[in-house]
Amino acid sequence: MNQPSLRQKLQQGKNVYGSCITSTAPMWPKVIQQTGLDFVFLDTEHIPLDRAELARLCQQFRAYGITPIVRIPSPDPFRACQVIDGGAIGVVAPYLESVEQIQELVGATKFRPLKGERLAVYLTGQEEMSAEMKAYIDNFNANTICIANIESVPALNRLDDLLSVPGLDAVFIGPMTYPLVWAYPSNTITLILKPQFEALFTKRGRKDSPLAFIFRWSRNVRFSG
Amino acid sequence: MKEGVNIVVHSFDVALFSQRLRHDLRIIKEAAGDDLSADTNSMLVI
Repeated sequence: MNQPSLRQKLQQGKNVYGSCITSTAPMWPKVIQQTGLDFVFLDTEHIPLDRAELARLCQQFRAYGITPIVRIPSPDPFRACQVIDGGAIGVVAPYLESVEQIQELVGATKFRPLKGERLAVYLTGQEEMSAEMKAYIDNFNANTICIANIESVPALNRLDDLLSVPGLDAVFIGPMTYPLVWAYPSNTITLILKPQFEALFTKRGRKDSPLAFIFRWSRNVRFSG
Repeated sequence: MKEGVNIVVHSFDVALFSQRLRHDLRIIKEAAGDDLSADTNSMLVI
């Protein structure tokens, strides 16, 4: 029996669990599978992983039934397509602040193999796809997950608009981002973050699709309340 | 070590990672009311 995809689990309202993996050692994927993780987060923004290593990791984790989610180094739709070609199922684009950036990411992850002007007319709503083409595109990208990294004050200020882009599946939040943004020490992060998270979850509750991942990077960060 | 052993090899990286990850996931999943059965609790034998 086929296991539900990560996207299906999220759509069913289930919790999913993952960890950031930086090791390319061959024994890790099997051990990770035995812990019951749903996904691995493979970061090419801050971690030195080349394209071949990344593709190998994606293929290995997929073979063990673990969803590879890849953060690309910059919000570049061609990079997003490239990591999907290598085996990524989820794509996180860093530091997104505008609706246009999120539309580009959605185009790269949910409208493949369309690109260029044809993609633009469908993304902007200037033209509507034929039913046949829509069925093909939907099926082609059925399990792909499109995730926006929200990590700045300008992005938070535009959160309603950013979350309204159709096709965006999730918002990714790095806790250590916020003390940098507001120049607070990291040991006060819980107090600083709580109102921001509450605002985010309130907005999420009003929307149908976006779901929030909370990425707990540092062991001294505690979420409470 | 009282017998004279003075070289210690403590575990290996993936085992330590796995043990700590299991520990953390168990706490998080229990708090969230999630099923713990996905953890097969088996380890590599090296």
